Amino acid sequence: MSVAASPDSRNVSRKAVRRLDAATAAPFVIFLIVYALVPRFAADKELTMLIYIGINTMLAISLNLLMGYAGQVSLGHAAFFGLGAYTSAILTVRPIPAEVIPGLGTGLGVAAGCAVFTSLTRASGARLASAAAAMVALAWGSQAVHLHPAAVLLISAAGMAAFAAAARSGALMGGASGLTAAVVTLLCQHLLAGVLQRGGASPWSGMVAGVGFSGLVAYLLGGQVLRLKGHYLAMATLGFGVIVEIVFRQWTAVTGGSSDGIFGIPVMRAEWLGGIGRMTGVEVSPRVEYYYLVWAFVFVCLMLGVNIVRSRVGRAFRAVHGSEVAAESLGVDTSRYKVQVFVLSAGIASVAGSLYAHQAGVGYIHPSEFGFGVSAQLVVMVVVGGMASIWGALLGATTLQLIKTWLLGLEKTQHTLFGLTLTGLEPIVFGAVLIGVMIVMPQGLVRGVSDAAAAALRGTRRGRPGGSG
Amino acid sequence: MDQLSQIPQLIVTGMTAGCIYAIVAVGFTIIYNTTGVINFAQGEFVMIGAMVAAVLMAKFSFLVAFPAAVLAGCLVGAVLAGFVLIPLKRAAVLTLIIITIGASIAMQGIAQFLWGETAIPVPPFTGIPGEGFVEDRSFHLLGAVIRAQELWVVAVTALIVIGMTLFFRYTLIGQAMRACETNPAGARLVGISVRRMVVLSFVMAAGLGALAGLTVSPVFYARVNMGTALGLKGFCAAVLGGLGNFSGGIIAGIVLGIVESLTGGLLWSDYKDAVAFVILLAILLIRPEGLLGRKADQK
Repeated sequence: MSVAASPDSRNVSRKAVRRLDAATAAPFVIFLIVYALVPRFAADKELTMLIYIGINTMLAISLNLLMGYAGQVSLGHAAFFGLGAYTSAILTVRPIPAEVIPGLGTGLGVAAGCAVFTSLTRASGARLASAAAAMVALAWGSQAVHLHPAAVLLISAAGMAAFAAAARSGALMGGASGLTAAVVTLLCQHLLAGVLQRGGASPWSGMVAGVGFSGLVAYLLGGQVLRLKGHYLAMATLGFGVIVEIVFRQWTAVTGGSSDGIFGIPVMRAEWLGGIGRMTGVEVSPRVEYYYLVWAFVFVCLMLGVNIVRSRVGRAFRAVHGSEVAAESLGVDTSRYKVQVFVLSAGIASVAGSLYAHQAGVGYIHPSEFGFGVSAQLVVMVVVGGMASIWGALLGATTLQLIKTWLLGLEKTQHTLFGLTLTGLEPIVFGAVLIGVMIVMPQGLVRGVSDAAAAALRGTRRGRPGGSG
Repeated sequence: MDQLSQIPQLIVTGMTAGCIYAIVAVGFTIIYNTTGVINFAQGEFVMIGAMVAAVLMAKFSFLVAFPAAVLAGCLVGAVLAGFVLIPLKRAAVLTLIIITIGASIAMQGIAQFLWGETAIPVPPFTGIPGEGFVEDRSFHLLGAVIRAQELWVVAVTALIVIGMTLFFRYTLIGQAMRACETNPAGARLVGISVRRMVVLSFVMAAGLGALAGLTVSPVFYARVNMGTALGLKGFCAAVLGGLGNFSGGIIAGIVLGIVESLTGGLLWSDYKDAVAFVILLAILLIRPEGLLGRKADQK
């Protein structure tokens, strides 16, 4: 990222860029070759493990963009993972009871309206809350008297315009958000009501809906919460994660609650991806196909991550991480970038959630799979792999899964130590790994090792190689 | 009408829980005021106190069990202080948060490994002596049943509050600890060992947590996973009261316990546990310096 001064140095920096590109592309090429060939050598058990690793890698990448690059702590990331999993599971197998739909529609409508309102007026805190209250009041009012949909649209838009004018937020902006709220509410209550009540949407559309929903939640939450820093942000995200898990547990009518969970979730199919396996001469079982599907998504996330980090947006993230005040004084719109990375991160986590729910041979989700423990494990993955390292996410997720599998093996063989049976070691080992890595290698394994290598290289070379990711 | 008659009882129950949140909040505050670190493992200190007391009470008298529980807490606190101290000098907030989270996960894991997952009942301090399970004495007041143990919880909380206030205001060590957070370099210049103060703050917070745990265990039983929720809600209380503010955290803790109990009992019993976090989010967004706090720095 050096600024070229003379033609000579520009030439040098171009060369450096080209070398950088080859270095960037090489891992992806290796990745693709390994990706295609793995099912030839892996049994079902290993494939299952790889599917989990893939999903966790996506989660780790998404959290790393947020935490490692933009420096925004999240201790509630499992919530977005869960929102993705639950949205697509509910849409595919769990019909939503008819009596819940009006409220659900209103909720979604108001959320969408609030999103439009904040994006147009940058309102926050009490002002946003009062706008939301106004939208809720308008929605319930017009539903209580059974108006024609067109009248509802009109009243909602006009009412919000009046509210916004009174609150000095601009009548036009208010009208637009009121209209959005009414449109989304009506869509859910009338056009989509049949689909919601029937269930049985395709997993792919469930995934898209999940991303939309998680993105909306992340946009609304991020706009408010990301103004906080350090401990406060950590606690706010943690609180959000806990609340979402409680909703999964308690909103039995829609989520199945904590006694049942949701089962019978259909598998997400991608037959054309199975073709890769056929080319390498493997019999394509549903699991092999699913492996290809998950890791195709991982590939996309890796590409996305590496590209974002190298882009203007990525540099803005790092500027925010380095010093928010300095970034702002240089003209970086820090709050916008923070919300963007939060939404992106939530979207990736949501896709991972859908993939988790629609796994081949599982078809079951439960609230405990999306609680604080999972959020903490995601932090471990990011930390172990290395903050601000996209490939580190892959390493972190793999390391953790291997440790888990190893511990599970220990439990199965009933090893004993000082007369105690070795069970439930996972939290002890994870906690120890977390502390150890933070103390010994706070930059994570990838950075720790590559920094050492870079230091050795620097000793042998005259100039410093330009730029690093 | 029937619901309204429950209110006194709900307030009593909420008050008991609230006292524990308050003590946990005090623990957070002690460590925060000395080091500027939020200790996510604070709830586990409560668990350790409760579990050690519960396990020892089965075999020994409380004369052995109670000091042992508090000592165990202090010991664990000292170890944790060691882990935090190693990187403290150059560490970012995130690093320290993660270390305490790691400690919390590991402590819970070790406790589960040693003692298993089942809840252990603990006899009340001043129960009616008898065979087998010891029944607690109870009183009736305004339609609510108050157990003697609940009075003990309130009494211990009051003692801790008074003790801590006096300690930080009037003793040299207490003032030195406060100096460490305000300005570590300055504190070092006037001859205060920051290192020692950090260890002391962890030991004190852990000891208080353990004391809270053993006091409350006859009411709520002792379980290895009791710490997480208590820790989080204690943190809610600390933030509500304004981080770093003792009396604020204590009042907020008790209020939080009562509000939680009332909303859970009267309105949404399913979402009782979410109440504290909804309040936390609302407070963080509207008034990050807390309801009772002065303008706090948001580092």
